[in-house]
Formats: sequence, structure tokens, C-alpha cells
Amino acid sequence: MLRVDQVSHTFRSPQGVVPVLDGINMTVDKGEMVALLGSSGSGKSTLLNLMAGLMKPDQGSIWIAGTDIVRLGENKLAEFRRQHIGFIFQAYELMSNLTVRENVELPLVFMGMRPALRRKKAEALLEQVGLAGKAGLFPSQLSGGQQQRVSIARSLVTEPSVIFADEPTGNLDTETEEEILAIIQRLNQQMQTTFIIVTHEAEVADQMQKVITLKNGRLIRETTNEPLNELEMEKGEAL
Amino acid sequence: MRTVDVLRMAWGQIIRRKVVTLLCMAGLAIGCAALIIALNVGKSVQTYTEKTLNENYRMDEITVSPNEGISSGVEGRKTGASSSGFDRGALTPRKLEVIRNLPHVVSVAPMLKLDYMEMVTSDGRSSGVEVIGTELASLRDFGFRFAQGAPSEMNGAAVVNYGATYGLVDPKVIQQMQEKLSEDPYNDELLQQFMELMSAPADLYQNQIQFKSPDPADMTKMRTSTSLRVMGVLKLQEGTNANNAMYDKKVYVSLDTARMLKDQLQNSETGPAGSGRLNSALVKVEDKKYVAQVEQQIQRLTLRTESNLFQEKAMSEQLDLYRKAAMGIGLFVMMLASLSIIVAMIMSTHQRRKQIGVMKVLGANLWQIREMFIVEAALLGLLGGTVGIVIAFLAVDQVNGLLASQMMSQEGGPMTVVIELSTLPAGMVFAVVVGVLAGIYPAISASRTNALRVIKSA
Repeated sequence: MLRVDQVSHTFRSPQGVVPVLDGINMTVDKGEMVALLGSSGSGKSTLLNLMAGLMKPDQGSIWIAGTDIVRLGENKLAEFRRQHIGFIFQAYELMSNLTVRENVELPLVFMGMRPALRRKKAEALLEQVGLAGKAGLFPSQLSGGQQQRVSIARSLVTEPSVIFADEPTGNLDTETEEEILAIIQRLNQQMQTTFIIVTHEAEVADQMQKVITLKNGRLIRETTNEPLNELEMEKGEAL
Repeated sequence: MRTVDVLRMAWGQIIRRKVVTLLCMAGLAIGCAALIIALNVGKSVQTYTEKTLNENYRMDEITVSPNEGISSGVEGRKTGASSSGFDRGALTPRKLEVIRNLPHVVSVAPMLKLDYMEMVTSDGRSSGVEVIGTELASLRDFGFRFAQGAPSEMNGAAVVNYGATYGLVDPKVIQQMQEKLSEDPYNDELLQQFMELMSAPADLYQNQIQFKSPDPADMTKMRTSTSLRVMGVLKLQEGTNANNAMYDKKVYVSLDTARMLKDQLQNSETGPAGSGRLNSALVKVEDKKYVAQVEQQIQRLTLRTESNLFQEKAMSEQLDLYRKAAMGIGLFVMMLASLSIIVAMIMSTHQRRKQIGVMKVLGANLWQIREMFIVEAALLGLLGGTVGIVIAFLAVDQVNGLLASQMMSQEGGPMTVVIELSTLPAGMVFAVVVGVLAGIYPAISASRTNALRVIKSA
């Protein structure tokens, strides 16, 4: 589903060229939940942004659903992102002037979908993340956890192949963090959507099926966790 | 993206960012109003000037005179002119007949203008007048209206104009007053008496008048004509200033009477009267747009023509200059307005850069981002244009009030600026176009936003 081939990337700083990623190779299967684990400066966020098509690597190629996104022009990439990629931000990044439902609908607006259909899709997803009654509220009227749930619904509304999440629980307390992760796990199970989550917390990574650890821009370890137990599944469904 | 969604999102930004909206709208509204006013002031000045020209210069009339460069048309000069009535350069009754039958010619008045003469009433009052021989019945065709009487072709009949009824004073009284005034030129009371005397109208209708002129053989002596009867008094012509008209003194007589007066008072051998030739004619044309065409046809008869088209041409050149200046001012204001939009939209782009970045991550492409900004700018143009129209109407109302107070004494009343409805769409379209053009740079700038950088930096 997703393959990263020999991806290297550098940043230019006043001190000179700083290597950020060095010859990364990895593959992710459809429906997998993958954690990109690493300390600050390990290159995990850069790798996520490269895979999401928000940056172009200096070297290598990134294949998603059979397309090398490195070779796509800006407009083609936007179109590809619209159809195949979802994104969850650490700081939610909801539009403050739009209601919860309108925020979820936004990627569908860029797709040119009819209002009635996108409304139906948005409401269905809001129900899945437990915000059915909050559709008409504005983001400022929601808690941090609720806002992140809106963000999750928005990332899923286009039914993408893969969702990238950059520290999705970084701004949340432990209890809310667990709720959000449980929702992600449940939706992953239900919709068979691939999730690639950047985190620096081992506890978060432990809940993923695969953990890819980066250090100083290099992939140093790739481990596979046991599948989720029933108790954890029930916890996600209860939310 | 669906058009409705683009409009909805653009409108959402407009009502959300009130300061930016107000800044942009203010600039566009002023620009649009300036343009509409500039367009309409130009048109109103043109309409007013055309009306004034028509009233003062009679744009649909042509004065025809003999072409003396080709043939004198004057008796006594042996030019070899034929007796066919088509003597080269001469203004003959036959040529007038040809002119009368030209297309678009409404009326032709033959003119035999005599020199200025002294008109004396039966009670001895006198005044200097111009005597013109013509077909009295044609006077009405040229816009003359009778206050008293009617045209009469009877020999010895005269028609006096409005001015000829003024300034008829006993010469002895005039002489005495002039002497007193020369002795005491700063005597306001005396000056006032003199002015009142000169501006008192005389009732000449059905009165007898005579003309006096120096004897050409002995300039120290005066010749006096036989008596004529005033059979008609003309009204003051529409659009003419009464004070100015008092000094335009004319007496119209039939052509035969004019020839008779010429015989009695002047040396008939030196004029065209005896030969039936005329020294001028007035031609009235159906509409001023045919004047140039009729003039050309008359000139083919080897006659001179003179119309007031040159006045219009000179005026239109001047008006063109004014109109261009007004348009220039309007466009300049519009340009300033577009700058205000560019600044406000760039400000808005900067404030919204994070939002734009998120939209790009969510799949908005370059054109969709640009489209949103351009539609927003167009909507601002539409709003600014609408407010501009209201401002234009309010401003024109004030301008008309000012013109009314400043031009009260103008002949034909003060000029009024009228906003023609046809100029409103032009102003609106211009405001929208300026809005869109001014929105292009901010739109491009917004679409080039580095999504990742703005999301991280915010």
C-alpha cells in the first residue's frame, strides 16, 4: 500500500546542510496501524510530511496506492492528497469560522461533492466519533479531545487510503489520549484505513501494530506488536 | 469546487473580516462613485452645452452669401456673368429656388441687408436699427414669434424685433442728457435716469416709422424715407437674454420695400438691390446633422456658406478635453482604490495563511485557493460598486445644489448633472473588474503559501 524507497532529505541552515533522513526504506500494508517513534530531531515528522506529500525528498521515491507521489506536480499532488490521504494535526487545525459539520465536510467541498451527500457523510462520521449532537457547534465550543475527534472525522470523510497523524494526542491529557487512540483503533478496524502515527511516546507506539523507530534520521528498528485484545477493542467501541 | 461553495466561503470571509471588508469597500465605492460622476458630468456638460449652443447659435441654420472671390455679384462690375440667373458667385432668386428644393431644407429666407439707419417714429423719437429685407412670412419658419400683429407682404409694411422697441428717445433729450453726463460723469442719479429712459419699451405696433441715412452724395445732409407702418412686433426669442436683446435692433421689411428704401436712402447703383440679387439668405435645415451636407450642396452653387457647426466642433474639442480629464481623475481614484484592495487583501492573506495551509493539506489545489480569493475580491467589488452608486447619487445631488446656486443667472437655467442609468452598470462592472484585478496578486500569493511552514510557525 505504501512503500518508501531510499528516501533521504536534508535541511539547509545557516550552519550548513543538515541531514535529516538518510536512506529510509519501509513498507506499510493496507489497514495497518504504524507508529513512527523517535525522540525530538530523529526525523519522524519530516518522514511523515514527506509521505503525506507536504514536502519533497532530496532523494528516493514514495509510493502510495501505486503512485510515486514524489514525481507529482503541485496540482496533481493536491488532487492525489484529496483522494488518498487524510491528515490529523497535533493542534487539530479546525476552521474557527466553520461549524463542526462544515469542518468535516471541507475536504469534500474541494472534491466538488453535492452538499446533500457531503452532509450525510459528515454526519455519519460525526456519529462514529461520538459527536452527533455537536454538528452545529463551532470548534471553540468544544474541548480539546472533541476537537481532535472532529479532526479525525475530517481526515476520514474522503475515505482515504492512508491517514497520517502528527502527534495526534500530543495536546491531550492521558484520559483523552486513550479515548482518541481507541477511536482511531476502532475506525481502523471498521474501515480498514491505514494509519501512520508519529509519536515520541512509547505508550502510544505500543498500541500500534507496527512500530518504526528512527534515530538521527535513520531507521533503526521495525517491530510488530500483538493484535489488539478484545478488552481494548470494547473500550474503543464504547466511545 | 462548486460555484455555490466558492461564493459561500468568500462571503463568509467578507462578513467575518469586517475591517478588511470596510477598507476594500471604501476604496472601491469612492472609485466607482468618482467614475460614475466623471462619466455623467461629461455627458451633462455636453447636453447643456448643446442646448445652449442651439439656443444661442441656431445650429440648424446656414447663412448663405455671394461668393465675391468668384464673382462680385454686385451690380456695376462687369464680370461676364450670364443672365441665366446662375451668375457665378452671385446670390440670385433662381439659386434660392434650387436651395429651397434641396433635401432636408425646411425654409429659405432671402435677405437684403441694408446698412444701419436711424429709425424715427411719428412723434420724433429715434434709434439706430439694422434694416433687413426678406420674405416676412418666412420669419415664423426661423423661430420668430409675433407679440403683436402678423407678417404682411404689403408694400410699406415693417416688422420690428424685441430690441427695436427699446431705446427710442427724443434726440434732443438724449443730447441734453449726454451733455450733462459728460459734465458730471459720476452722477449716479443721472446715469440711472439715462438707463431707465433707454430701457423703456415703446409701443410701435401700427405706428408709422421713417428711416434716415446720410446722403451718399453729400454726407452732411440726411435722406429720409417714405413712411412705413409697423404691422408686427416680434417676441423676445426663447433662450435669449432680455438685456442683451435690447441692443439687437432689427426692422424687417419685404424685399420690394427694402429695394425701395435703398433707392430712397442709398446709392442703388452700388448694391445688388436693383438687379434682384441678394446679399444674403438664411437657410433652415431639418436637423443640425444635415447642416454640413446641405452646406456642401449650396457651395456647389458657387456661394459662400456659414453655419455654427464650428462652434459645436470647438466646444466638443474642449468638452473632450474636460471629459478625458474627468475620466482620468475617475481612473486615478479607481487606481488608488485598487491599491487599497491589494493592501487589504494581502493583509487578509497574511492573517489567513494558516487556514490556507490547512486547506492545502486537506486537498485544495492552487486554483481553488486562488478562486476563493478572486471571488472574494469580486464580491468586494460588487459591494463597493453598489455603495459607490449610492455615493454617486448623493454627491450629484450636492453638486446640483451647488450648480443651482452658482448658475441662477445663466440663460436657460443652471446646468443639472443627471446620472444616466446606462452608466451604472459601467461603474459596477469597473468596480468588479478592479476588485478582481486587485485580488489577483493576493490570490497568487495565497496559493503559494507553504502549507507546512505556516502550520508549524503559527
